[in-house]
Amino acid sequence: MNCIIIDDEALARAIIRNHCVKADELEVLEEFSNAIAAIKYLNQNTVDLIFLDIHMPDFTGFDFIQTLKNPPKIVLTTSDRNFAIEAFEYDCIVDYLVKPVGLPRFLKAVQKAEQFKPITAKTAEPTAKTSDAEGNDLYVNIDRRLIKINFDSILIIEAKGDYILIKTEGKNYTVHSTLKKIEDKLPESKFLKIHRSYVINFHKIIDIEDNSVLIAKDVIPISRSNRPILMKRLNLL
Amino acid sequence: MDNPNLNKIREIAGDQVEFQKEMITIIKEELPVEVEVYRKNLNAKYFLKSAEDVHKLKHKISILNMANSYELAINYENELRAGNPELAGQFEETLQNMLDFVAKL
Repeated sequence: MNCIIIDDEALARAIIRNHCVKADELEVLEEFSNAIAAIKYLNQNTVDLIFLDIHMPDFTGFDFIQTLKNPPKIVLTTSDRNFAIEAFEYDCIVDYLVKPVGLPRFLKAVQKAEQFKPITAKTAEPTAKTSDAEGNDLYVNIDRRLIKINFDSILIIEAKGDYILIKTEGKNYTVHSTLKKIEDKLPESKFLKIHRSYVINFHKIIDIEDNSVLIAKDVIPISRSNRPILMKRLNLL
Repeated sequence: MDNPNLNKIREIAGDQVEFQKEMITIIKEELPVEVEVYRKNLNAKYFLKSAEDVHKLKHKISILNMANSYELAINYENELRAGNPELAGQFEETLQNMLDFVAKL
């Protein structure tokens, strides 16, 4: 088996790396101090096993798992003795180790990983949204007129109480509706909800910095819960 | 207050003397940085960030074999998440104790 180690703490990585040497046929391919670098690596490489720290700044271990289309076997590492049951909501998680990790417990986790077969073929993919979007346009009711808006012209849609503000490349429209209703009418391939108050046209992103995206001149916040879905959609180099 | 020691490090490293040395070197480098980040966030009253810092420090507390301080850190982390920094003084004593010990290694 081969593996990678993801932990923001050098001490934790050193302990796991040292233990890996003691485990027969377990090769450490890479180590990462943050999850984003690991995602980039996994876009181009296949690994059998990941030792993954749950608590990392900005991007937790669980956020990381949700970005993986076909997650490999994962052994979680944590400083939390009373570890949350959330770990077992993912079929890819084999075991979890409490830091500092002793060698006997580590070897037991590796053995479990070798024998581990996921119960189902289920992945960490979130449930797919059923969109009834058809064609390239959306009609909105403004002052008793049905106005056609081309999907490609939409930049962002912002919730404003009982209204939504649709910002397009040429004009802005305020429509009496909810974000949920319009989200169901938009093609999934183009649009993404990144915050409870914002849906964005994914193809209009200029850049992403920390917890916000820049679209045209607007800086839109990314909520913590929506960040993994956004990261998963990015074609990271 | 419990005193830091190297028993846990020896237990993890077994007979690998070089690995023991490597762990101590990393702790000497990482601990002061982690403590500084924690103190900065606490002084700025960023209690949630401070709680994350305490969470991270738990590994160092545990590896320096400080069982009582580990329990204190668990309580303090939870209190910070609730916006209460009352245990900061006690935790600071733990940190200083660790820093003094590590500086002498």
